[in-house]
Amino acid sequence: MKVLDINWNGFLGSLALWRTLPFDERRAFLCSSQASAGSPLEQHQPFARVMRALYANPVHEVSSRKAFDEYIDAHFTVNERSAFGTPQAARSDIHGALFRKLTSHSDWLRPFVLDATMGWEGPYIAFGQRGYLTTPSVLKATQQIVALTARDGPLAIAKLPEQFQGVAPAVLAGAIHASLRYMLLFASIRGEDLEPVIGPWPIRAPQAERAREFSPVEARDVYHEPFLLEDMTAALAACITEPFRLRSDFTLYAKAGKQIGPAMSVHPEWVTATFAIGREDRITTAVNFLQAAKLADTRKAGAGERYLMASERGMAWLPRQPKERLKDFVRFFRAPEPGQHATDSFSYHFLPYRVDWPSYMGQSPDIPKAVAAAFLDVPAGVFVTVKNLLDRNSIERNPLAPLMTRRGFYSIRIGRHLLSRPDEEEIESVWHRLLSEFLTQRLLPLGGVAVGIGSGNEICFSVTPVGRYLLTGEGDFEYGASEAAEVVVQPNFDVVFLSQATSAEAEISRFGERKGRKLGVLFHINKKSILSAANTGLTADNVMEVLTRVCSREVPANVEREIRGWFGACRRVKTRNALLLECPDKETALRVLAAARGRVRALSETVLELENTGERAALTKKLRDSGIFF
Amino acid sequence: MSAYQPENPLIVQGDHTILVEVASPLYEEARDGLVRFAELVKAPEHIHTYRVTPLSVWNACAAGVPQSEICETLERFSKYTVPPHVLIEIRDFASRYGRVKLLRHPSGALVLSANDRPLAEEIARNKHVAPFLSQRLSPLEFLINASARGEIKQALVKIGFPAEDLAGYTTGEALTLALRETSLSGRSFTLRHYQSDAVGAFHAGGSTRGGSGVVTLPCGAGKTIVGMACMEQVQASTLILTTSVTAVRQWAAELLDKTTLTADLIGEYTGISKDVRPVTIATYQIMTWRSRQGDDFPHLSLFNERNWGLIIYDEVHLLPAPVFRITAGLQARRRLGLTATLVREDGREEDVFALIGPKKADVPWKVLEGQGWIAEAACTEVRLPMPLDLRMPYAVADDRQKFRIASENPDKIEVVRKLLERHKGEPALVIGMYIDQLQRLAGPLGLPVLMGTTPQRKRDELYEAFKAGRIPVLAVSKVANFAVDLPDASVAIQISGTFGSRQEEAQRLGRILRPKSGANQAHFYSVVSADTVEQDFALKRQLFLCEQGYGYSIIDSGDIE
Repeated sequence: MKVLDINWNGFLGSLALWRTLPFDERRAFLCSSQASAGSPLEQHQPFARVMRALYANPVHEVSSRKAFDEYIDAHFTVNERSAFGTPQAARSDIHGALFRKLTSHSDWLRPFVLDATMGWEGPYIAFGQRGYLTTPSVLKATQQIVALTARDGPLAIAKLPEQFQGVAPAVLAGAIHASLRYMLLFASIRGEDLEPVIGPWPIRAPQAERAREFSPVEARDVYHEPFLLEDMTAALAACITEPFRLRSDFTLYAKAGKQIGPAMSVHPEWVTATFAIGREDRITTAVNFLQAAKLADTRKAGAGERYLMASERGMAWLPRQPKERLKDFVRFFRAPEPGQHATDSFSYHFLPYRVDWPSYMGQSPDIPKAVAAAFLDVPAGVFVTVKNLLDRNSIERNPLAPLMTRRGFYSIRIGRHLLSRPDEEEIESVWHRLLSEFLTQRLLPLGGVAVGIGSGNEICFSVTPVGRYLLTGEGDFEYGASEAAEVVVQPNFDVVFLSQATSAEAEISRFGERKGRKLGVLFHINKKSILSAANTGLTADNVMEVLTRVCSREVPANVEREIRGWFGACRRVKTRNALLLECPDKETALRVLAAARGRVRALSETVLELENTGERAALTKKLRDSGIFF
Repeated sequence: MSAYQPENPLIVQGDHTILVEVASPLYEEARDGLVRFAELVKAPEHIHTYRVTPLSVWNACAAGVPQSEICETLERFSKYTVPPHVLIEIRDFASRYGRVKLLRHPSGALVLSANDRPLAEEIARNKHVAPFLSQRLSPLEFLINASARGEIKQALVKIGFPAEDLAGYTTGEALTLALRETSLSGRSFTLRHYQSDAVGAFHAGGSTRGGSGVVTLPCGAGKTIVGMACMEQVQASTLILTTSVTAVRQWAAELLDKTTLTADLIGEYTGISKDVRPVTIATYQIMTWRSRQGDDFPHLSLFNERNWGLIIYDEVHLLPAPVFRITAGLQARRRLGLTATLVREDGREEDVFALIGPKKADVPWKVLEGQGWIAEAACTEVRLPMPLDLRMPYAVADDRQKFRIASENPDKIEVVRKLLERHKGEPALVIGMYIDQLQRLAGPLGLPVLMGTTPQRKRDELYEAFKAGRIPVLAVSKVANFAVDLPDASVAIQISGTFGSRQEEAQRLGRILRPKSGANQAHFYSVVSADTVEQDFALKRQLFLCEQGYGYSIIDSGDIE
């Protein structure tokens, strides 16, 4: 049912019945495909269809471009759309033009309210149709409704007769029709009370009304942890202990998650929910970044099975001090190595996704610099809301702003966003999304921001020294040592956390067996956990350094003694492939030795070893010539 | 309280465990509050762990601690907000205690009384409890057979409504005894304040609120004395159950030494002798002896051979299952449990609560150590390398042989010699698992050896000589594990032995914890072959001792001066 096909006069009559229904009944009615048997609305099929059509697209609540497209697709014919005089171009571009034009208060609504006279609609009447603003009273009523809703926002349709008491119902219905036909107003069902409403396309706060300065806020439940680094550390340590077998599509089996999981820290619930960073996602991200940073690579083993194994670079990276590991990692982000593959999600680049700037568009603006500037602008040590950041970084700080003045058709892909002759709002939306995603995909996982909840439950953040290092590549930061951790190693090898200390937790997880989360006995150090740590390249000195640094009390002597003893008992052996030649008797062995001329050596009287297995073919030939066959 | 209070010592966790920071200025105050309603799980140097369980809360309720005080203590001393569900559950546990009471009916039977109708109905319909209810006297009361007193208490504990037993006790056969002010051996003797407190809590002035329960005191704190003082309060014939013949003899010796009882009033009921007197001391072993599996336990009849006014269960955490069963039928007699820990290896703490009674006293050993009532113990592990000629046999041996080869490292003799030299003049025990090893060591060092096959008479002579100081060092086999009461030993050197159980290790340590003159310092050494399986076993001991709160250090044999 299209909004233009509705008999609004009849609709207003049926609304009285609708308003007698309780909320749950309204919702059940709208959610079912048909009026349920016994419902008083059963007799009002057209009304039901209208309501469901409006309910399907809550344009006043989700006023996206997509919602606009769906709305006009649902309610307008091609002729009706074309009547707005858009150029002959791709369909999406017609919509884009319509969107820009018809959702603009200054260009569309205000001139209509102030200046429209009979005949205003002429240019917009679709081929084969007649006008909607049939009488001066309909025009006047339309102007009044548009003016009222433009000022106060969407209005319940049921309230219209009350608001315009002197207006005849037929005129009112005509005014609704006209306002909808010319997209002066849009109709939808309001979510909070399921009331049909009519109103102009919602507009964003005018630029002038947006906050230009930062307003510091008080943050609670502050969270700050370079969890990506810690997850990568946990994943790398786990894959050194036991390489992760990969599926044919290179994804991990569930077992890998079980190996990594115990060493991963737990985020506060609000962080997980707000930033949508679940445990599985974290594991996948960590493993992908390990590969992107070449700290781990995929190798074939056994019967063609693929495994993710630590690379030599990873083996060298893991035992380094946490701060150095973090610095390394941040450096990689700032200066990716040539040839690195840049995918949307896991590119090892400064920005969380790539910008495809066509060469015919001239030189690309320095988007990374603009992003960095936006965050460096936040005063040090101060929490501001994300909204505050976005409002401050509006159009004049937007590196994509020059696109607004560009003529002709063009198309730019920024991450997942394809921009084709975008309007101001679209350009701003992409820019804001870029800032938001930089915050959530770069700064937050690397500990570059501390996030918290403001007094009005809004999300706020503060840029940390790690964040400034990432943004500028300069300066220094404290990591690990600065945390006021209340961590105690007990003589019974329990590691007790009396206060939360996430970086200490991450460091100890590399050599302690996890026993708990957040507070209490979080780790137990035992021979097995130390041997695993030794296998990852840690040394007794590394472990003692961490314990001495993060613990608030002296490490008990018996604990240190055992840790050093366990490390001391570790040995590393090398393996190599060799070919054993088992000879039937001593004489044959001597003949082989003679024929091989130094290529083989005797392990016993009858067993010989070919050290360089690559020479097997040559040896086979040589022996065959001597009458000795494999 | 919502903010983080770093100076407070407690962290209350959602799983009902409580961490206590010893370094906190409020530690002692918090511990004294906590010990009333939580059980100590482990006490390593810096952070101690307690656990709140239904039983620990019921013990607190039985001792008159209101739930509001429990919650208040947690909230007052907690660093962080106490998890709300923990407080709710504590309130729930506490609200269950005392809702059911056992009272005496004029007919001599018992009355089970519930405090409200729904609970009465629940009990009446519960399949574990209902079989013991013989008649409904009123909507809230049931008549039950007196013989089912123990079993119904067990069943009620299992369903979470522990009964307050106010049905009273039989007086038992009268027996006059008093504690001496000067022991027969001529030493001045009075009860220590914590012993008096424990006795008072147990006896409760002879009312039905007392008369059954468990006194928890650390090794060396004088549990036997508490038992004797309770006997003095009850003034009735007493059956004492303990762990071994040696312990039986020591109870007898202590009773003769410190009470007015004479030898003719004290009987020994063991594998050697079956003498039932007004005070009879028996072993758990003889009580649970039977000729064949499936037969009855003939010696359990001892429980009914006299009209006992008091039964003392020494080391109640070791109480065997058949004794539990017979104890269920002895609920009309006063019962005292003595132990160093309520933690049972078999997890039957609920039965101890239901059948022996609630905890009546619990004094942390650190308190007693601080007051000088028990010695300070320093635990040291001495590691020595395997001799070169044993390395290869060790390397190729199977696990069992490896342990023995490492344990019998002949170089341990020299280490023991050095240790004894270091503690010259202090009474010392050398404890070993292998008789051969002990004998090899005893020869060069000139030590007498006491082992399982040593006749009792010879043992008594050795003990006597050791107590008198004529023998400064005694080499003992596993017999030292239980109730070898050697009051003057201040050094123990363990040269071999697996880590058996928590109790076993505690008992060994207990041998040296009695207060010493002078520095009041005891030393417990374990001599271990380095980098062998013996070291792995020693690690278990290390963890146990650290969790008990003892200082533990590791030195190399070369470091002994």
